[in-house]
This record gives sequence, structure tokens and C-alpha cells, in this order.
Amino acid sequence: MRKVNTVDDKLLIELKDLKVHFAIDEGLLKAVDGVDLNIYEGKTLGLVGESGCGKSVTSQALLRIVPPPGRIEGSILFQKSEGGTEDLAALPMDGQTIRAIRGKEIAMIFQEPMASFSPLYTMGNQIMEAIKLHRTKDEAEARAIAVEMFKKVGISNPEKRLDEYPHEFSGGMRQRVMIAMALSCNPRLLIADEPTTALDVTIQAQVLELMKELQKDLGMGILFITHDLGVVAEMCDEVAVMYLGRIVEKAPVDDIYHNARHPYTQGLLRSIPRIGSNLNEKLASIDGTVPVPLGLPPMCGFHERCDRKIAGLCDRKTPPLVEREPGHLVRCFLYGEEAQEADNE
Amino acid sequence: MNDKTKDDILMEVKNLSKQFPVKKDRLIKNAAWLKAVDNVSLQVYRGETLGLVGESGCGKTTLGRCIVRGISSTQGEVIFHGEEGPVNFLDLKGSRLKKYRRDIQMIFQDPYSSLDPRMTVYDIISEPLRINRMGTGEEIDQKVKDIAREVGLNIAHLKRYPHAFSGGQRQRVGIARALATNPSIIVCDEAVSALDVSIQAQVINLLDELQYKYGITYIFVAHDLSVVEYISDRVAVMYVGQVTELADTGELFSRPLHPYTEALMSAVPKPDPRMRMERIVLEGEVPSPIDPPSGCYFHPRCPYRKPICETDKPELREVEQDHFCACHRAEELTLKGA
Repeated sequence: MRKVNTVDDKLLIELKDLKVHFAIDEGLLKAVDGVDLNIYEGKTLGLVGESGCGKSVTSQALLRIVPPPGRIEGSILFQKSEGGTEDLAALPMDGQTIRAIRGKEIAMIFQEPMASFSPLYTMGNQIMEAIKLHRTKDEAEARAIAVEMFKKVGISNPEKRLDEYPHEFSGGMRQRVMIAMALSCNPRLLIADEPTTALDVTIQAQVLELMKELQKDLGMGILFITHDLGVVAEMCDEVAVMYLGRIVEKAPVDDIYHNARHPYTQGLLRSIPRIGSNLNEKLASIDGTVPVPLGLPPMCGFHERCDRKIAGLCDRKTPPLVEREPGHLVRCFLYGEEAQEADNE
Repeated sequence: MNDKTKDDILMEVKNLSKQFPVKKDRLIKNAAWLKAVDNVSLQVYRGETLGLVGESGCGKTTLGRCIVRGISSTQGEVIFHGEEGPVNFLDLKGSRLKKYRRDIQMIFQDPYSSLDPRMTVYDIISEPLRINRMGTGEEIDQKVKDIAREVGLNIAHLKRYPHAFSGGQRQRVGIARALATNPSIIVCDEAVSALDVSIQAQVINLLDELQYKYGITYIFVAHDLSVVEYISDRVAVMYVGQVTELADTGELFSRPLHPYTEALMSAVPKPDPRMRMERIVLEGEVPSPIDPPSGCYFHPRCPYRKPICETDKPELREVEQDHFCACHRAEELTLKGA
């Protein structure tokens, strides 16, 4: 097992009470509602949750590409390579500073390799755009870097393939180009938003191996966003589970799988069918669906689906995220004094 | 499903092929053919769930669609053993076809695009009943409500339109629609892959319960091996339009005979960080079914290939009892299961 967050680890980015709210006709949609996260150099943080839990919006906030009318509050403290910190949340969305960071210091791999490239430009053209913006003005040198990156991600015949269009690449290959593009400016933080969801298992295995190798070589921090708990177990050092815009549990990867404390995390783990498990057992599921985060009163967002809820507490107060064991944070009343107080009443 | 006899066969797929024309050259029409399903033979037993797995483009969805006659097959037969004895479903016409269509239903992958947005959920579920004139207005009304209750939909919500439902609820509507005509077999095409894990478990459990209650047979098409293992009694693995291995689920997962099955299973990430292990990472990608490789279609990616694999095409044969495999080296290889 890999160690997590020892003193030697260098903090790369720190999210403090990050909120992303969308003012829409129906009311204030709290997509992300107070998230605290740290990402370290050379480590992978997994962000897990079901659709609509706010994991993708969190990643968009890091790059300041939240679509309007999204509003960001809180702070995103990024450790600059030349020293000092920059609060990304306070920067103007289209300012010089964020544009210098976007793509260079923080890069992103998007979910859909099919839809994330322009069909009108060659792959070489698209990958060199970022290189020319951040690394060199020289066309020939940019091309050399692009060829180098193609080789690194295992695309054969790179000189020829640079001049091909996205439709000439298969899904797995397109995802490789995406990774090459994201890594072409040696970013220090890589955000991978469901990078393998659209791929087949054998291709997924190739891409995951590739990401692990490149992380070892380049030492970047990775924020790995996914809903696939198998991939998380494979890739991450630390895992944060999100539900309804909040982190409900955060722990080292081994703790999440073997010592999950939050009922939602436990439910998620029980509801995945595992190869070689007892087949006669009924698959555990979590009843109900995720509520829409629109005008919700203070409460635990999970209480309606929770089988261990404490009446009169979980539906009235928002539980705090508390460190129950070293490095293991849980947002649940079951493990706090409030639960005992409620019992005594 | 231990004792399988000929009487228990519900459906036999015989030498089924489906080719799509690929127009590469406009002067010569239909210059190339894409063999999506290539000479597939299968038997489906009454009351079982047959899993159909493979990577995208392997032809599993096309096979499912051919079986329900959603698309026409190029050649082959689908023998359905109904109450009136065996008939070739692909040969049927007119009213007899309509009658048999009730027995063979389908659930689709995408719960968002497989429901008509301009029909209420009530209309969607009752449509197959109305088309097949299965009862008077009152009977149909009662039936719709019964089915809706059965699949866990709120009766009060039946007059709503699909957009008002979540993904899991919509998939329940899709299941209700398929159930309406009392089918004996349902082809589930990636029925749970678009759903979140907690919802996916709900739908899998529902399918399980319905099978237990009504003895429905499922052909479960999916790419997620852990879901297939959970729900299936037997599993067929497909690669470039052909079945490469077919066996009881437990047998296939613990003792695979085909190298592709082994690689496929080792590629699935295990949901346990203590089980991180060395996997067989296959080189390259699935070959194009327009121009498949010579010999065994899997040989360019196979770590165990021998010269014979490049020249001779292996047939699907019964290597052990009830365990079929299309590999020249099935007997000599010892492969790792999941």
C-alpha cells in the first residue's frame, strides 16, 4: 500500500470552502457547496460520486471554466512553480494570470474523446496550439514536441498521424491524443474527468497503465474524477466521496474500501457486483434517487435514502465533516456526540 | 440450470449472420461488407439468463437486434420453441409474426432516447397492449397499473411524460413496456450501463425478481463483466462478430479457456485496493470487421499465438462438457480466471 500525505508531500492546490452556485429560474442551484480538498504533487486524489453530485463542476472551478451563470466562492490556493500562492477563485475568468495557468500548470482530460476535438483541424494542429501558446513560438520545435508526446503515449508512426484528423482515430487512440495534449506543457496538476468511462475495458487498462507510468515519470498531481469504484481502487492514493455538492467522506484509498464509515459510501460499495462474489446474494441497492440541490433546508443530503438515519437530527441539521481517525474524514452524525445526545433525549 | 435437455431449449440461433454494406467506392456499389455478426450459433434455455459480452463493435448489440427482428438478418435462423412447437422466427410474416413478436421483447440501453417524449408513460406502457388488442379498455387500464406497480413505478405518476422521470425510473418504464405483452424472452441491450451504480443495483434486482416470478428468459447484452457475472447463468463472449467462448458463468469466470476471455477479465479493475495486481494489457485494438485478420481473429493481440493461429480459423467446439471455445490451443493452455 502506498503511503498517503506524509510530511514530505508537497501541497499543490488547496480548495477551501469552495462553492459553486448557479442562479437559475427555479432558484439557487448549489452544485458545489463547501468543498475542502488538498492535492499533493505526485499523488492521485479520487473524486467519486454519482451523476449530479458536483464532481465535474468542482473540476471546472479549478480551471475557472464553470459555465455561466455559475458563481464561485471560497478559495482555490494554487502553489506556483516559482513560489508563492495564487488564489484562482479570485482571478477574473479571462485574465492573463488564469490563462497562463490553464493548460500549462493545470491541464485537463475530458470525458468524451469523441466530442472534445474539433473535427476541422488535424490532431497535430490541435496539440501544437497549446504548445505554441505556452512553450515555444517556433513551429518546427512545437512539432518536435508534439511528435515526442505522441511517442510517449504510445501512438505509432507519430509524424504521419499528427497530420490526420480526429475521425481517423479510434476512441482509445483519441484518448491517448487527449492525454498527450494535456501533458504537452508538463502540467503540475492533471485533472482527469472520467477519462476512461467511454472506453472498453481492454483499452481502459491500456490508458490507466499509461497514466500511472507518466505520473511516475513527470511527478504531477492527479485529480481523478470517476464514478467507477474499480478504477478508483486501481489508481488513487486518497479518495473523496461527494454527495449533493458536499464531501461526505475522505480517506486513504485502503480505508475507503475496508473501513468505510459513511452510510452512502458503504451503500455504494455494496451495490457494485463483484466478480467471484456470492452470486445467490441479492445485490444491495440504495433506495430512492439523488435529490436536486435546489433550495434544500439544512439537513444531511443523504437522510432520505439512509437506513441508519437519526430522526429529528439528520433531517434538521447539516452534519459537519469531522476527522474521526487520522486522515479519515466523515460527514455523518452517527459517529459524533450529537448522535448520543439524540439517543439520550 | 444443471440438467439441460433438448426440451428446455427456448430459442436456437443457427448460423446467424448480419452484414452491412460499406460504400467505399461510389462507382462499384457495395464494395465491401462489414460482417457485424458472423455465423453465430447459440442455444437459449428456458428461464435462464444468457449473458453476451464483448467490446464495442464486437456485434453483440447487432446480434440482439437480429434476434428480435429489429433489423433483418443476412442469413441464418432463429428457432423459437413456443406453445405451438418450433418455428423459425425470421421466416414469419403478417399476423403470425405479430403474434410471435409479443413473445420476444427488448429493453434498450439509453433510457433517455428510447421513450417517446410526446407520449405519457401510461401511453408508452399501454401501446403494445393496444396494438395487440390484448383486452378491453378497462382490462388494459388494469394491466398497465399492475405492471407499473410491479416494476416499482408510482401509479399517480403515470400521466406524466418521460422527461419528468429520472434515469432509473425511465428504465423501469422501458421494462414495463417490454413486460406488457407477457413475453417469454426479453433481450436486454445494455439495460443498466447508462445508470449510476446505486440505481443500477435497483434495476438488476428488479430484473432478477421478475425472472423469478414469471420465469422470463433474458439475453443480457452488456460490456460490464461484473454485471454479467452477477446476472447470468451462462455467458457467451464475442469478438469481431463471432462467439469465442461459451460456458456456465462460474465455469467461464473461474476457468476461462480462451485467451481473449482471460485478458478481458484481467482488464476489469477490481474494487479493492488490496487486490491491485499485474494485468494482461492487450496490445493494439479490436480489428475492423470489414477487413478482419487471417486465421484466428484474435491472433494479432494474443500473447499465446502460434503459427497455426495465423493461418487456420478455429471453430467453436465443445472442449469440455458445456464449455465451448474457439481456440486452437484450448486444451494445452492453463489460463487464469477472475
